[in-house]
Order: sequence, then C-alpha cells, then structure tokens
Amino acid sequence: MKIIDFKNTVILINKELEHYLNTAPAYILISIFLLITGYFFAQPLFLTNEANLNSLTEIIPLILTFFAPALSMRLIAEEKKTQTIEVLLTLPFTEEEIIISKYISASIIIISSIIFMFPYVTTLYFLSSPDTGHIVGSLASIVLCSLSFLSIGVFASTISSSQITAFIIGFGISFVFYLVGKVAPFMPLHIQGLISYIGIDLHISNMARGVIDIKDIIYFFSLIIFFIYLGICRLKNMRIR
Amino acid sequence: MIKVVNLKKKYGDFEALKGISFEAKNNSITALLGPNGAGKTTTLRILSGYFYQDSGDIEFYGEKFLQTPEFKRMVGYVPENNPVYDDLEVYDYLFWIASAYRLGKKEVKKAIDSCSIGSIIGERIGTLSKGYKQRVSLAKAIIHNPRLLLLDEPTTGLDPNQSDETRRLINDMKKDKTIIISTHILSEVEMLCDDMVIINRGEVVLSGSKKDIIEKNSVNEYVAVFEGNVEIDFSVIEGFESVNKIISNDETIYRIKFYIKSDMRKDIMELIKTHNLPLREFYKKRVTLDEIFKELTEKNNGVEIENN
Repeated sequence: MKIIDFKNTVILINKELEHYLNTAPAYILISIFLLITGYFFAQPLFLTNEANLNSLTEIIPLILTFFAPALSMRLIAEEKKTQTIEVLLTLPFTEEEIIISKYISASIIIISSIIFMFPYVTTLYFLSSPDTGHIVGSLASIVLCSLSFLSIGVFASTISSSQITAFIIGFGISFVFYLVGKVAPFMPLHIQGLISYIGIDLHISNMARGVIDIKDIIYFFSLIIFFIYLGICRLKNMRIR
Repeated sequence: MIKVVNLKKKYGDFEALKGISFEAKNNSITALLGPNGAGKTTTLRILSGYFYQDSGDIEFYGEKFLQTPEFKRMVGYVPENNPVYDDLEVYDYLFWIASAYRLGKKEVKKAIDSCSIGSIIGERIGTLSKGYKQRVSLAKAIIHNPRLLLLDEPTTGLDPNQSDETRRLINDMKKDKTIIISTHILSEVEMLCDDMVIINRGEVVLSGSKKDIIEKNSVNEYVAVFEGNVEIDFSVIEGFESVNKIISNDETIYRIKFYIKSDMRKDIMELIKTHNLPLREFYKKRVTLDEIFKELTEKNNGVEIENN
C-alpha cells in the first residue's frame, strides 16, 4: 500500500494553495512580514555602512516565530473546528499525504514571501559589491529557518481545534528554539556546545558566513522531519482515539 | 452487502459500541435508529473509514473491510451536521473531490444533474441554504459511484420541502448501492427505509425488515371513545386480554387488547350496540414505529422523536 502518492499530494496542495490565494489573511500576513523585515533591513543599512544581510539574519528568526505559526495555524485546526477533517479523512488520502501537502502549500507561501525580499538583495548589489557567498548563505538560512518553524506550526495545528491555541503553541515551541541559542553562553561549559547546537542562532550565523556545513543542513532537516512526523502521528491518533 | 460483526469501540472508559452486529443489503436503504448517544454516528464513522474499531469485523461485499484509501474509494459519506468547505465554489469543490477519486468533468456533471444543483454551481458553498448544502454533500458522496453510501441524519435541520427533496434523491440513489442512514425521524424510516437496526446504548436491540418488525410487534388493540361516563364489560368477548379505561371531562376512552390476532371489530360493535351506548369514535389501533421504538429504548434517554 502506497503511503504517499504524488498525484494525491498535488491534488491536496492545489486545494490548500487555492484557499491561501483566495482569502485575505495570507496577503495580510505577507504584507506585514515584508514591512517588518524591510524596516529591519533598511534602518541600520546606512548606519553600519556594510553591504550585508546581518541585520536581517539577526532579527528574522524572531519574526518567523510569529509569522510561520500564523501562516500554518489554520491548516488542521480549522478543519477540526468546522469538522471538515471528517470529510478529508474519509477521502482516499493517507495522513502522510494530508500533512505533507499542507506543509508544502504553506512552504510555497512562505518561500514566495522570502522571494519578495529580492529588492533587499538588489539594493545591496546596487550600493556595493556584497559577498555573494554571504548573501546566498543568509538567504538559505532564512529559508531553512522558516521551513523549520513552519513544520512546528503544522504540528501545533494538529493539537487543537482552536487556531489561536495552535498559534500560541507553535509560537511557544519556535520561540524556545530561538531563545535557547541566546542563553547558551550562560550555561555550564560542558553543555554549552549542545545547547548552542539546539538553538537556531548558531546555524543561521554559520550559514550567513557563506559556509554550508552539513551539520547545519542536518539540524534544519531534522527539525522539519521530526515535527512533520509528530503531526502525522497526531492525525493518525485522531482516528484511533 | 455489508456485514458488521461484533463491532466494539471505546472512547476512554466510555463504551460507545458494545459489540454490534447487523447486515445491510444491496439495493436497499437500512436505517440505523436510536436515541442520542446510542452509537449510530460511531458506527457510521467506522464504516466510513474515519475511525478504527477496537475489535470486530466488517465484511464488505465478501471482503474484509479495512480503513484504507482503497476501501474508502468504495464508500460515499455525508457526516453529521454536513461539514463543507464554505470558501470553495460548488463546482470547484466537486471537481476537487472528483480528482481525489481520479475522475473528471463527466462524473462531476452526472453528480450535479443527479442532485439538481446545476443552478448553484458557481456559488460559494458558504452562501447556500442548508438544503442546497445538503445536496452538494450528497453530490460529493455519490460522485465516484460508491457501493456503500452512508448518510448521518441527512434531513436534520431541513424544512419539510427540503426534507422531501432530499428523501427523493436518496431513494433515487438506491439502485446498485447499499445505503445506510442514521436517523431520529421515525416517519423518515417509514417513508424511506427497507430495513431497520435499532441501537440503544451501544447494542442492537432489534433488527430486520421494517415490515417484519411492525408485524411482529403489532398488538390486536382497539380504541372506543364514548360520550360521558359509561361502563361496559369487554371481557365477555372471547380472546379478551386486557382493558384500559380513561375518564376525562366529557368522555370515556376504552383501550381493549385481545390475545387472538383476528379482527375483533364486529364482536366489539355488537357488544356496544346491545348496551346502546353513546359511541363517539371506534377504531383498530395501528402500532407505530414510534411505540415500538419507545418500548425498546428507554424513556428520558435524551430521545428526540419526531413524527412529521
């Protein structure tokens, strides 16, 4: 028995994308995201006189702790609230297809938002000659951070039928990963390394240096796979109760 | 044919299904009848593939039924309270459903025509009336021509005209399908269903064809209503079982039961004539499903019985 059918996944992604594109919340969220990131990019640009995305990579994980759960909070929670989850789970889809499709559709929206940040990059190239490795690494870290927090948001959405609760849980878990890196310097020396590795800061700053280390890639993909897996388990558990 | 054998389901400590067994035939409509909390919706949710049972077997046209996508392709389901995607247009919604079953525009059109929703295909589902939303869900449930159609309280909340229209649609769908309906509405069972399964507190209390159930549970009972306060002894008639006398303001009502099954109207009328009593009304009581249902299930059990 196939666990994931490609065509089923595409059918589900199309439906979710249609919802995102036909309703206002996604556009509002993307606009707010771009406004805030634009501010934090532009505000220190001429003060530091450096052509880099450091100001963005420092603040964007915090912004994503709000943005990613806000984008994903309705994915399962709304279906549970309106009871359309019963329609979805009685169609010939597996839980894996449902969760992965919803995650991919939200990922498409979040990556589109990041693509809309291209004026920041073009501005740097217009003003100076930034280090391309740093630019690519920074953007890659932003994408991977957003995809990681999005997977947390998808999992949080499976926990409750309330979108607000799903948002708070998603934000809470994401914030832990954001905060852990910040408190690592205050931890005992023998666990500082482990605590730093768990926090998202270390991996973003590593990649922003223009060095794509396999450890950082493993970190982000582990987060994504872990929380998507938890989301699938939650959905399966709904049917067994 | 669907065969359910000893189905059990628990929610925590609460036993929703204690081992129910029944059969539902092809080309027929079977009613799952029972008070609130009896286990009807749980049964349908298991048959639809939404929930797993704790134990018990389901045989689906000779094969063991598993809650897999392959089996779900053979089932059409309209859940309780008819959940729909309010933000989608009717045609887009049905086309998406058809895609899930690897079907196309032809099947969508057929479902639209069967459920007479051609006039609203461009409308957002959230803007439709309850009756039309129900028809959209019916169209969604039959789009892939399922062998088993499950409808959980399909006419609840609909006005009489909408209910009639929905029942007509359901009756039209009977061909080559097994249809199982969960309902509170006894008149709906009388109008629509061929077979009945009465469930109470997670157990089947009675099942069989509607005709057999009514016949087997019928009693030979007559009602005679007299003007004023009158006395008459019906026990002199052969086959007499019991009598119940109710005196109200200006009339006396006698309910007379006989243990023999033959028609006793002639004997009763002759007795009344010999006493020369002021008879207002006299008829043979027809047992209703309502009475059979009430007798088999407990009162004050959150029962909502509607006789429309």
